[in-house]
Amino acid sequence: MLHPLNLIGLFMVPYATLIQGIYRAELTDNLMSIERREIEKLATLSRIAINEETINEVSQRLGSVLELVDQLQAVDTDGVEAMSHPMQATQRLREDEVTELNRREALQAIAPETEDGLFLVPKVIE
Amino acid sequence: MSWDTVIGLEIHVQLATKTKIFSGASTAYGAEPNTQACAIDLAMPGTLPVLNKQAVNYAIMFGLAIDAEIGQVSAFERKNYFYPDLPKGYQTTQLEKPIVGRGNVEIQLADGRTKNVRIHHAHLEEDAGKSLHEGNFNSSFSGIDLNRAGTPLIEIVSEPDMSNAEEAIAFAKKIHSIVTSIGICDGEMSQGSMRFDVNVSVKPSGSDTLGTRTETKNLNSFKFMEEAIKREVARQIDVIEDGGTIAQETRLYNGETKVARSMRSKEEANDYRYFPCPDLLPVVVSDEQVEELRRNLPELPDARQARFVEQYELSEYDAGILSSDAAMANYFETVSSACKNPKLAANWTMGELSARLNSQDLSIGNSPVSAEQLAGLIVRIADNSISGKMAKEVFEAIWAGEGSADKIIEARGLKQVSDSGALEQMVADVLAANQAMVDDYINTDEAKRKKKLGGFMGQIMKASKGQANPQQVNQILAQKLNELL
Repeated sequence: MLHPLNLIGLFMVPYATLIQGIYRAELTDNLMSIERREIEKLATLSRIAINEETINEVSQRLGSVLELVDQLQAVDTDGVEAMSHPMQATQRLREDEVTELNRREALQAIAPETEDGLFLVPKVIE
Repeated sequence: MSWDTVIGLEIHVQLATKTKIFSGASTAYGAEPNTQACAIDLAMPGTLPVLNKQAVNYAIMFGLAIDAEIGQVSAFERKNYFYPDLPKGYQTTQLEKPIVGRGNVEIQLADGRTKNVRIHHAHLEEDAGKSLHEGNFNSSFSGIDLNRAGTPLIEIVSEPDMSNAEEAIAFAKKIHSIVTSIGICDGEMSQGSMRFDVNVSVKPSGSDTLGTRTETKNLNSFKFMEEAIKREVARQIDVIEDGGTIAQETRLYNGETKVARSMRSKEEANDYRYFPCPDLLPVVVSDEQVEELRRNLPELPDARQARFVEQYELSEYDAGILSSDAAMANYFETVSSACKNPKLAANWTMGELSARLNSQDLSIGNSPVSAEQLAGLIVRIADNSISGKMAKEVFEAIWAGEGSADKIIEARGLKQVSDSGALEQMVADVLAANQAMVDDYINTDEAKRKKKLGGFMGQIMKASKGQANPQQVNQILAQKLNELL
């Protein structure tokens, strides 16, 4: 089921994955001191660099977001169906017709490295 | 100790839409890298997804085909992970409210038994791009082609209802048959149109407790899937019988080298941090839309098999093979209605043609011999214009692009001689020219004479350059020799 936190996700999308991770780590009972290793793990998952000097500040800021979540949690939502979107609207659909043509040259002009039409990235092998 | 195997499948099916699930870029296979990757597929800032109506309809059609509940309201979630062929940093997929709910698929096994496999759900999602690790670029790089990024998929998740590789393959083939029959997927395995993840565990025979499972990902052929399952079952039993335990992990199987390896363990498992996608509103499906799709749903493989038995008087077995592949079934029906000979149409489609296509790894859609051309050949076999042997020669010539059967028969002078006057003369000439063979025949015991006929047949076929109708020659020869006794 959806957490009230999802609502926050809607207007804090850039931070939503980070916050979701903390929330799920069930550290909300000790909001102001999210453990260091949790912060580090979440930073890794979100590919956000957090350095020594800022780690305490990040911990406090995330903690205050989770306080807000706790306030939301206090609301009695028994019998209220979880919603995935705050607007009373439904998705519009498009016809299955090709409308986007090849703009590779323009789109690759801003890429750091390309070769033979491929975007080049540091080697990845899983 | 004996062991039970428990198998569940996750099947990714590429939907046969013209465009991506969230953008109007083409999904045509084989284009130059990144020529079909638009700003939306590349996750450029400011772009927004708009859902493809046909992708939704195709997903609903699959649901109807397996008699599943259709989610009246479904929603999209973001599955977050970082990989260079996933430009947004998340895959847009469905988790809480998939569009297709519980359903059922019946599979037929080699011994004639049938078995029901339950479908847990099927959901809509987007495909990722492709990473190339070798190419015409510095070896410290990987090349990224995003043409496939955003191609619509349904992921079909089965319950763990299969208990050996045979059942898993039968299930995978049945899904292939269903999605191609209703036209929602082209079924081209070699192009990655269907990919399988296999969950396998073993437990002591009769035990109620499931063993720890492993997942082998991204198998793209039935053959590789069968090998991967058999090897994984054997590996798990070995580990347990040697006193070890199975680790929950994701594995990869390389079909070329026949080697499976661990990709990541449960501890390293991705934490996907799903949450509802704020860019997409809930998808509402109306009853009218579902009913219209139900009315227009193409014939399903099981119904087609039954109809082939009824309408064309084919055996259950032949009808099953032909109806299992929609393209083959359509081809057969075109041949059959053009030549008015279902039995020969079935034999040639499943026999000579399929063997030839398999030998060159061609799908029936790319057959060099068209259904009309095969029908033309069958007409000439059925009216005795050509023998079975000549037919194979003509088939090869059609395959090589020499035109219609009639044109080839004419050009090569292959026409079978069925004129009884001409054949009688031919037989008489051969008998007259081979008096020694005739004497030998007359002096042989009656019981053994039959064996001597082959020698005469060979002479006559040689004299006719292979064009004499063998059945007729046989009759005339027996009659003429009898008269000499």
